Amino acid sequence: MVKAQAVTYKEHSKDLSSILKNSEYETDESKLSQEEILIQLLATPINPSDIAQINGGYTQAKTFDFVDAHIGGNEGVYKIIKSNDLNFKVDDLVIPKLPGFGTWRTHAVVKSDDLIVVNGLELDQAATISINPSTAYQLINEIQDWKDGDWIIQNAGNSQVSQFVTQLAKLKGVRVLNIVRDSRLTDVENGIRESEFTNKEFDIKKYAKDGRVRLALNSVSNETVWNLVNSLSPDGVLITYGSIGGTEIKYDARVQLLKNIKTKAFWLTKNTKANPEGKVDTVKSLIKLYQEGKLKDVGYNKVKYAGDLRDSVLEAIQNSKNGKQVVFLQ
Amino acid sequence: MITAHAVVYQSHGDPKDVLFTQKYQIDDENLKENQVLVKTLASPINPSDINQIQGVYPSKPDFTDKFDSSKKLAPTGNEGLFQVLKIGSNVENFKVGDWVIPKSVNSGTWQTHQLGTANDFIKLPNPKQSEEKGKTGLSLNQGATISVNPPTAYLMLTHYVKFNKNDYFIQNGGNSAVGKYASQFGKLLGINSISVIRDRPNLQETIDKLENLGATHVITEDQNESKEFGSTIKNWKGTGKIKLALNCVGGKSSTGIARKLDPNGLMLTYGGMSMKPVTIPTSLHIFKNFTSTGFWVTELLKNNPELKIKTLNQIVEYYENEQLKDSPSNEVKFDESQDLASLYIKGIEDSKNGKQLIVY
Repeated sequence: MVKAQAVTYKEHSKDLSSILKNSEYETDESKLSQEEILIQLLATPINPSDIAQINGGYTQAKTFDFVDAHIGGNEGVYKIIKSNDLNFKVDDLVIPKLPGFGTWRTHAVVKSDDLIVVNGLELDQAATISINPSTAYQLINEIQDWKDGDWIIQNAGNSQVSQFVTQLAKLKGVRVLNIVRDSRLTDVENGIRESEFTNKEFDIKKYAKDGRVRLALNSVSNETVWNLVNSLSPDGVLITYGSIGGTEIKYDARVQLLKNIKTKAFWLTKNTKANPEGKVDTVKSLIKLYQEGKLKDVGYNKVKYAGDLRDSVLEAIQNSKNGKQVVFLQ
Repeated sequence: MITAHAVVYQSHGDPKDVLFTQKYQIDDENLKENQVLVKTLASPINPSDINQIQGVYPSKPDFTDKFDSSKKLAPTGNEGLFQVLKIGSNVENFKVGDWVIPKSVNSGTWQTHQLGTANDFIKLPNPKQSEEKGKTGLSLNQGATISVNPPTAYLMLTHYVKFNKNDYFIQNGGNSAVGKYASQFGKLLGINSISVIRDRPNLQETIDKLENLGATHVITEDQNESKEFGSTIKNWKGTGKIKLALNCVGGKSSTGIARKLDPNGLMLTYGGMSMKPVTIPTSLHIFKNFTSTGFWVTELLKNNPELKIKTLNQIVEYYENEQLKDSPSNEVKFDESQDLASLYIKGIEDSKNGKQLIVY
């Protein structure tokens, strides 16, 4: 018998500390069927979408019978501790393939099709490969025919996704202008302050010169969107993604019309549900880039698990305003 | 020799300050083998013509010395209907008396004549040719205003989205020229429509007119912005989906029509330079996979001449079958004793009361 814990909730609310519970359950590893695999949590991050899901109104959370509640979390790395499937070995590093897995649990019994093997990654990389680098990878691949010297501009320039976008773009010879909140401009490559960018006089030519600005990425939906659209070259695309920030975007209709600007959305969760194998391909490509040393993980804060998963998750959520948090059980 | 009159300008500015009439000679006795000489039958005043003269429109004609060898002048007008006067010895696709329209923009239609090549024009049936087929001939207004508004409406409905039975499009500016064409094409193509119009004193009268034209439903901007009204629209559409939104207004109106789209919907923004900013709720983008893009008929057709011909042929057919009503213009007659530029300057002033068409 394995004693396990999960961070659970039964109703949606913004008052996380009162609705999140630590639920204990047991898993009988001797009763695994032929296809079943027992996995143990090594690390699980806090993502804004996890919080939005608990608050309600994001995506439907499923109910897990063994705790009779929803389990929080959509990303995490596990190791296999028992497997009856010959293709999966004990100690393999795995991540869930689909969103809504409920990763804030110490143990899970799954089938091979629920998993992506991520052997060969460092634990720090594996813990966060599923969402931020995958989002960045797929965002960049929204445009297939990148040319050397093309440009991307993005707000929230020092977010995790943005930093992965910057790295992945560089591999394609694409340059990135990163718009960063005035208080945050630190050592981001090609960083520009929000106050400079939102100024009426701002001219993208100062940075991009004759390069084509083909993609603008918006994850905060604030007043930077106006000049993101203005800065795009003809036939450029504004992509909005992410669940944080403002509730609407606003841009000049004449610019859209005359420069044939498209605005659309990107949502990794939706892509993954529609095409799980596409997500697997994305993760495999990222593993290769990590292993070749072409991609570096972006630093985050680790919260050490001390026996109660709910306490660790709540501590990490509270720290989230200072940057990305990952609960480590090892 | 023919003495042609052309409305031209030497530098951008307010039309009443910069427009003047330039008279120039066309040698109609010595046409080159591929040349076509046409006389103008009618040309309208469009908002983009005015923006071009002001210098605020991105697409502009070149300044040329063809009107006067001593200075560079720019022609005016982009839409118009001509009749072929003479053709060069090698011209096969046109004959004298044919009706033609310019193939591309910026050629200058606010002038009495144009000397071009066979490649500069697209043929329309003249009334005699239509009657020979047992059809109704095009009017001057239909021919002279066929290049911009009807193709804009037709292509927005046919070029992007596949509609099934019971599906809808929604549009603001429902009482505009393009809006009225869109409602009519919707009916002809079997696509239901919801047209949003501004509240006005004679609201019911306008609604009746639009419904008579082919609009399935007509609603006001207040209803467009109202959450409660959503249930009425749900009842209307039943199993159908609202797949396309046409925006020429911007602001809250664009938010309203965008919100009514079903998942994976598309909003096309088209129209004038006076449009308000587009505002889109991010939740629409992310959770309903909404896409918004611009539509500029000139740009689309510039690179796709076959699509232009195909579209114009379809519109001509609707006109000849009397299935389509043109958006009327106020027709102003030009005769040789008048100053052509003054006539267009007055037309520009009168444009606030509706579209002006100068008839030659």
